[in-house]
Amino acid sequence: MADDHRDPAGIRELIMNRVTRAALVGGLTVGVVAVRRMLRQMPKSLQEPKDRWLVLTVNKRQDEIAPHNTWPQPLADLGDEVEIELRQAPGNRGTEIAVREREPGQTGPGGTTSRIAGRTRTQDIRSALRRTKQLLETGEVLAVDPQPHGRRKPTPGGALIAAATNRAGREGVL
Amino acid sequence: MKALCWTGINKLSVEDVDEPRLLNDHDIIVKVRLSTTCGSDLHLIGGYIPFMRSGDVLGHEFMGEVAEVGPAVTKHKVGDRVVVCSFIACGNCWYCQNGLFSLCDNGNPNPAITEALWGFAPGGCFGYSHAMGGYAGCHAEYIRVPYGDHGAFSIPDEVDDLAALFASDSAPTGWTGADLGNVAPGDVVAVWGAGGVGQMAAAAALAKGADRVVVIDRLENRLHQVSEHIGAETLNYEQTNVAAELRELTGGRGPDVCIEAVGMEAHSPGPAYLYDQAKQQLRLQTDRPTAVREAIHACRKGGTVFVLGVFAAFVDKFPLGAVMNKGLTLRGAQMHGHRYIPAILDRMASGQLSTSHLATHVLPLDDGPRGYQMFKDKTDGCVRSVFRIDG
Repeated sequence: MADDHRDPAGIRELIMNRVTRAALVGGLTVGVVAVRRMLRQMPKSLQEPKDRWLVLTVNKRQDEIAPHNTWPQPLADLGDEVEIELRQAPGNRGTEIAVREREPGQTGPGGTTSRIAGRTRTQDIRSALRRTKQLLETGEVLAVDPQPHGRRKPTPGGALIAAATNRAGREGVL
Repeated sequence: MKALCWTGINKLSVEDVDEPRLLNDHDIIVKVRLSTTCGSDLHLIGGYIPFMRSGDVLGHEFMGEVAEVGPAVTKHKVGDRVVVCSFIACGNCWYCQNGLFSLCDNGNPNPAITEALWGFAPGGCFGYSHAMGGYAGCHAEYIRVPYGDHGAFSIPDEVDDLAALFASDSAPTGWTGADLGNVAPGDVVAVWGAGGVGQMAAAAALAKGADRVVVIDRLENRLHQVSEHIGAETLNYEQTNVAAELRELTGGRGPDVCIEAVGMEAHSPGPAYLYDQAKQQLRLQTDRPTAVREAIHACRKGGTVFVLGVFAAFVDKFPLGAVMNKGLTLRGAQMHGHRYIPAILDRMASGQLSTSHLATHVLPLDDGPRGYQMFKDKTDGCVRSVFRIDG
């Protein structure tokens, strides 16, 4: 009965700590439930369907995209895990190359973690489409590094820009 | 090699940096002879376009001599005297093939940044932040030029280095505004801003047959250049009511085409300037659109307003009601230089276009920080600081 020897202030503190902890746990639980419910009830217009095609138009005729039934290397490297479709773009705008995963990737927290780490199939597809377009239209994939530059001071803004540019070919609205 | 680098907000220094090298088969390396400041650089230097890293080499308007060519280059050889378009365009995508070179699909290797900002990515630009590709700029002894056959233009013998320099960006930007603004013979054209780009927009409007061209600014030395070298009329907005003047000189109709060549750091007399400045500094808007608002109000019913000044993202109190109810055509663009540079060089060669007067201050690259300060503060009548790279 050790508590019997506590002074009234100590007992009040113990009770307050337990109440605070319980309130925090309760609040967190309610928050998680609320966020999950909100995500479930999000309007369709704000949800990304898992079978979305990523499409990019190349200024080439359809027969120039995969001569001899061979895909350009960046698309070929995606392997059998993706579907690829070619469509003629309207108004002599070339050929639309559409790619999507056969089995949609991980969603939820796991998917978010993979995306932050730059390891999703969608990111691979974006990059492959952009490189394919450049190869077909210009014959090369444009390099930008190394670029001449002066002393890079370590700043939060600079770190953010470096992180953004490292991913810039694999992200975006494509 | 020496290069003028951005080292932080409103901080520049000349540093020793690595020389560029050929990275792609279509690249050329240009030994820069002359490069110049541009008003749009001030947005980068001041941190209004927040995609610069300390150490980035500034500058996008330049001319020089081909020093090295990639194995796939066919148009140029070592020793060619060239002016290079500030925008980087592949020449082969649908946009390039339709003359919309600054919208090139392949010229910007960092598309995600501008796709997030604007929905789609335009092409890349030398020395214009990581949002526009992260390319090193031209205030340096050497520069790598991707897609060299498309971006570099041989300079006719009749055109000297200083005149040719402004065929890199200022002149083609002016031509973009007048051409895509559909200036036609008989039009009255008003141009906001008497800097290098505004002056070239006025020259282009006259070349396209405009009946009257009026350039608006507050700096008398610039307005004097407009009268003397371009042959357009002028208005000083600090000394007169611009809207009333434009109505009077257009018979009450308003200008047919209004070209805004000021951009996101516009000045104006009166409370609107303070309002816009406060909102911009508080980051409640990214740009000060004072001149755009005035152009929209001044433009005749059914006329065209062309936004040629550089804007980054969002503005407040945009007069959309005037655009809609007056039936205006509102258009903007970065410059499609590849489309206009050959004709501009021909005009220079035949003495029809004067540009050298823009170079009010020619300095060695070591004086780069001072050159930008003079250019920013408009001291000593500075219209453009030009850097002579070999000293």
